[in-house]
Amino acid sequence: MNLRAPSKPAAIDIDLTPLINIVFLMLIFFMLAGTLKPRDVIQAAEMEDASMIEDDRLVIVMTLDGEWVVQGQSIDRQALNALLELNKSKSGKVAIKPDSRLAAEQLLSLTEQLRESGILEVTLIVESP
Amino acid sequence: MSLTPLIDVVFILLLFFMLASNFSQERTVSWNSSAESRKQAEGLPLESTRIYLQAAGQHLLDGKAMAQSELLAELAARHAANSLHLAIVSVSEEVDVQTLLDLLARIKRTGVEKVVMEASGNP
Repeated sequence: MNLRAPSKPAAIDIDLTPLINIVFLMLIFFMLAGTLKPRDVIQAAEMEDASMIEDDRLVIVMTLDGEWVVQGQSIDRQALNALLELNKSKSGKVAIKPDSRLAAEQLLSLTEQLRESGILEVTLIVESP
Repeated sequence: MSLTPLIDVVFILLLFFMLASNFSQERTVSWNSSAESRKQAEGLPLESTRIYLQAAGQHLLDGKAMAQSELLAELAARHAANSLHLAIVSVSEEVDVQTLLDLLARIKRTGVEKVVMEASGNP
C-alpha cells in the first residue's frame, strides 16, 4: 500500500521583482518627462446649454483678482495686445475663461477692451454642470 | 507566486492617473456684451427692456424690485405678448460671473431672442 501523499506538482515560481522595477522606472520617467495640462488657478463658471469647445483659439483665463493668464503666464495689457496681434494671423478667435466668483464688471471690461482691439468674436469658456 | 507587488504597482499607477487627469468638460458660450453690439442692438427696431442686476436674486425691472422668478415670469409674459425681443442686463459691481451667467441662461429660456450686457452705475 502506498501511504505517501501524492506529490504536488512543483509550484511555478516567477520572480516579479525585475518586472516591477522596470514598471517603476517607466512610471517615474513619465511622471518627470510628461507634462500634464496646466491646471488653471480658477474655479470655472458653469452654464447649461453650452456647446463644444474649439481648440484653435487664444484663451485668456481671468483669475479672481482680475489677473489675465494666457498659457499659464500672467500678462498685462501690452503683452495681451502683442498676443492678439500675433493671434490675428492665426484663427483670430479669442475665448475668455473667467473665475465664477470674479466681478462680472471686470469680465465686461475685458470684453470691451477686446472689442476696441478689433476682436469681434469672443466666446466664454464654462464648464457644463 | 505572490501577486502583492503587482497589485501595489497597479494601485500606484491608478492613483497617479486619478490625480493627474481632469474630467471636467469645458464648453463655450458666445459672448457679445460690448458697447458696440449694444448700440447695434438698440439701433434695431426691437422692443427692449433694461434689467438692473444688483446682486444675486435682486433685480430691478422698470424701477420695480423683483425676485428672479417674478422677473422671469414677467419677461416670458412680455415676450409672449410680442412686446419684448431684446433684454439689456445692466450689471452692478457686486455681481459675480456665475450669478450673471445663471440669469442669462434663464432669460434665454423665456424665449427672449437677444440679451446684451452692460456695466451699470447706479440705476
